[in-house]
Amino acid sequence: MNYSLFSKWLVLTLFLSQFSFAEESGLNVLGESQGYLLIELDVGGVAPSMKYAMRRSSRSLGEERTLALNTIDQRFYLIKLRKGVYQVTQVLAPLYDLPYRLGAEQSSYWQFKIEPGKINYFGRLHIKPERLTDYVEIRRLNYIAASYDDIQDYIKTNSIPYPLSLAFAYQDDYLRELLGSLDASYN
Amino acid sequence: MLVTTNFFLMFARKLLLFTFLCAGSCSCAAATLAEKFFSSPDMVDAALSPSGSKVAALRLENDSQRISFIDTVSMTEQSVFSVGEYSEKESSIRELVWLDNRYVAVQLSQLKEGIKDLMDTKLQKRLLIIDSESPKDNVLSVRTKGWLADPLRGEANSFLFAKSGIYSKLYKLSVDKLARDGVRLGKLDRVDGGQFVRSNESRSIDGHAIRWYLKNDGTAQAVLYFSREEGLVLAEFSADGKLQTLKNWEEDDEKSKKSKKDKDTATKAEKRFVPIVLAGMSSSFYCLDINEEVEKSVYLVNFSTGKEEKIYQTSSYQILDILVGESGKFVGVKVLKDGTVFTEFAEENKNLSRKVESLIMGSIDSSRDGKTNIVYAEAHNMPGHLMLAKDGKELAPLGKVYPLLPKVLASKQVEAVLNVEGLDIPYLLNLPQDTSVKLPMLVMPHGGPIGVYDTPYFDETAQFFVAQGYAVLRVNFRGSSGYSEDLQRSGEKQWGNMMLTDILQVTRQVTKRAEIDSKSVCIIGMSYGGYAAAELLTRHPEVFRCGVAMAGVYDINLYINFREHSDGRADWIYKNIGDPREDYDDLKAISPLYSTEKLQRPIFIIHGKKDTVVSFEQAYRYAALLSKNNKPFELYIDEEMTHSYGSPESAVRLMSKVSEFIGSNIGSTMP
Repeated sequence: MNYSLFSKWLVLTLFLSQFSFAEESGLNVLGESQGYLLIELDVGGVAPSMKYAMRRSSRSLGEERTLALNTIDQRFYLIKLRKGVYQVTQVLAPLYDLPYRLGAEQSSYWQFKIEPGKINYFGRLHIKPERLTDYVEIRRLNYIAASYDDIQDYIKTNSIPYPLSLAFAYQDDYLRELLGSLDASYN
Repeated sequence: MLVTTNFFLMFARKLLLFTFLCAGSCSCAAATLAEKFFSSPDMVDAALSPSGSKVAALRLENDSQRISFIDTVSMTEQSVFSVGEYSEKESSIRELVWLDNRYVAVQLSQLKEGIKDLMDTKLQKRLLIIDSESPKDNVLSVRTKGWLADPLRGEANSFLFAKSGIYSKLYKLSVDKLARDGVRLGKLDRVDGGQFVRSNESRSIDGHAIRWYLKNDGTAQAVLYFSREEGLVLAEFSADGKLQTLKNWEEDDEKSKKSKKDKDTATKAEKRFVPIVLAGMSSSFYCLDINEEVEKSVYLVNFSTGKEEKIYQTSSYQILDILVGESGKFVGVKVLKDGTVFTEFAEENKNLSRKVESLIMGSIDSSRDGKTNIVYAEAHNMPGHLMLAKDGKELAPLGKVYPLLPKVLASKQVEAVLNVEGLDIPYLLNLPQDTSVKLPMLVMPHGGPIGVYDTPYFDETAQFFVAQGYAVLRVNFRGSSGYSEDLQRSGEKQWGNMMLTDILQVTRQVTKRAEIDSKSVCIIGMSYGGYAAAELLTRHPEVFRCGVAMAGVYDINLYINFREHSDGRADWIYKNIGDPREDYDDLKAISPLYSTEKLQRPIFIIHGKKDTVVSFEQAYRYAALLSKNNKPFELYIDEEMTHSYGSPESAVRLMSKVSEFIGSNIGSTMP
C-alpha cells in the first residue's frame, strides 16, 4: 500500500470509528458482493437482541448471528452483509422476570434482502416494553417515507456513497417512484 | 388460546354508554361549534332501582367518572362517589348494578396489558358496594378475587359472586356481612365475613370458569370454563345438577383438522362462536364470532343441534356485549364507536315510539313492575339522550350524549336508493332546514369498507357540517352491511372499482337536486373513506373541488403488507381486497399514491401518529409524492390521534381544521 492510499485509509478509518457500524463493517467501502443493512432502531428494554441468518433455501438457514441491541445508542445502525436473502429468526426482548422472545423463523414478514452496492433499509425495529404493565410490543415497521429525511441526513453525514434500497421481502415500488429511477439513489 | 381480550371486556352487560376517552367538559357559553358536536357525553351509564324510586347515574366530570343518585320523584341528584378521588390508580367503572332497593354494586376495573402473543391482557377487578341510604361513608367491598355473577334482584341484601381457580364456584353472599372498603380488619374478623364456605355455594365445577350463564332466578344454566383434560368447554347443568358438555373447542378443532386432511381441502376462515348470553331456550346462546375481522355480528346458536342464525349486524366498529330482555329476547348490542361505547337496539326495538323519522327509542332499564323506565332516544336530527319515563310518559331528562347540543337540530334527512349497474345503492342526504339558497355539498364515504354502513340515526360529523350550511351525502356503496347480503357480498375486491362507481353515480344524481350547488362539492372520509376521497378526487376533478382524507390508505399494497396477519385474516384480506403477491400491479393501479401527477384539486391529508390500523407512513408517502409533483395539498400529522377522531379535544382540534379547509375551498352558506 502506498503512502497516499494508506493515509486515505487511515483518515477514513478514524472518521468512521465515530459512527455506529457493525463490527464486521469497519469501512464504508463495500466489496463487490456486499451491501449494507440499515436498521432504524426504536428499542427499549433490558437486553434486547435480534438473531438472523442467511437463507440458503426455503428450508435451510446459514449460521445464526446475534445483534445485541442494548449497546447501540444511535437511531440508525449499519451492518455490512453479503448479498442474499436473510431471515430474522428471533427477536429477544427480556423483561425482568419474563424471558420474552418472538420466534420469526417461519415468517416471511421478518425476511430481508441485501442487494450488493446498496444501503438496504430494514425498517424500524420497534421494541417497546412497559414494566408497569408487563407489556412488550415488537414490530418491524416500513417507515421509509416517514423517516426518509432523517435517513438522508444520516447517509450524507456519514458520506456513504451508495444508493438507498428497501430490504423488505415484499414488493414495494415507493422509493423507485419517489426517486424516479430504476436505480434508486440518495442523491 | 381461544378467549380474547375482547371477551374479557364483555362482562359488563348493562352498561349503556361508557367512555374510554374522557375529557373535561367545555363551557357552553364559550363552546365553538366543534366543541358542541365533539365534547364528552355527560352521562355514560344509568341504572334504575327495582322499585323505580332511584336512578344510579354514572357521569363524566373533569376526566373522571362520578356516580350520583337521582330521586325519581323529586329529581334531586346527590353525588356519592368519584373514581378520581377514590383511587389513584388508572381505574374505571365497568358496571353499575342495583342489587336491591338499597345497594348498588360497582365493578371497578384496571386494565393491564399482557405481552403480545404470550399472555392475555389482564383485567383487574374490584367489586364495591355503595349503600344508597348512607352513601357518603359506606362503601363496602368484596376483598376476595372474583366478579359479580348476578345481582339476585329478587332477593334483598344478597348477590351471586363468582370465584375462579382450579375449582370454580358461585357463592351467594350477603351484603351486610361485608366490611367497609379500605378498613383494616381486626384479628377476629374474617375476610368478607367468612362467607366463602360450602353452605354458601350455589354451583361448583372442576375447572377455571370464565363465564356463568344464569337464568332470571339466579340459577346457573351453563358455564364456559377451562378443563385440565378437555381445554375450553361450554357445558350445561342438567336438572340433577350434573354438567353436560355442549361444546368442546379442542376436540372440534382436532376433528376439523382431520376432516380437512382427509378431504385435502384448503384451510379457510371458519366461524368460531363464543357464547355471550343465554337466549332463553335450552342450549341456545347469543354469540359473537371471534374469527370475524372485528366482531360486528350477533348469532343465535344452538350448541346441541349446531343450528346457527345471524340475527344482527352493527355498522359501528365493534360489538362489545349483547343485551337481552327478561325472557331472553334479543334487545340490542353494546358497541364501540370512535372510542365510546354506545347501545344499539335491534330493529324491532327501535320504533317503540316513532314520532320522527329514523328514531331509535328504547328502554335501557326498568323497575320490576315495568312502570318506570330509563329511555334512550336518538334520531338523525336528535342527539342521543336519556330520559326517565313513567307509565309510558316522558318525565324528565337524565343525561345527554352531546351535552352542548339542543334536543333537536334544524336539519332534515332524505333516505333514497339509486340503481347502479343492477344493484340498489342506498344513500342518506342530510340538509339544513333552510334550503332557500343552493348548498355546497360534502360527500362522506364511510370507512371499513366491507361490513360497515351509515345509519339513518344521529351522526355527529354529518350534523356538524349540516350546522355549517352544507348538504352531506353518505352513500352505502356496495360492500356496506345493514341492507342485504347482495349489497355486502358485491363489494368483494371492489375497493377501487364499483365501490367508487357507486359513490360517484349517487353524487352525480344528487347534485341534480335543486338544493345542491353542483359546482361546490368536496369529498371527505376516514380510513377507506380517506382512500375513496383521494382516489375520486384524483379521477374526477370535474365533480369534486377538494378532498379531505383522514387516516387514509393511499398505497393499498403497503396497507396489506405492513403487518403480519393470521392465516384467517390474510384469507379475508386476499378475498376482499386482493393479494399483493398476485395482484400487486392491479392494487398499485388503484392506489392514489401512484397517480399523484394526475391530481388537480387540493387535498387535506390528516393522520394520527397513534393510528395502529392504517400507519401514518401512508400519509408521509402520499405527501412526499404530491410534493414531488408540485400538487396542492396540506398535511397534518396529529401526535395523539388514533384510527378515529380520538379524544374530544383531538376531535375538536381536527374538525376545526377540516372546517377551515373546506370553507376555504367551497365556502358555506353560514358564517
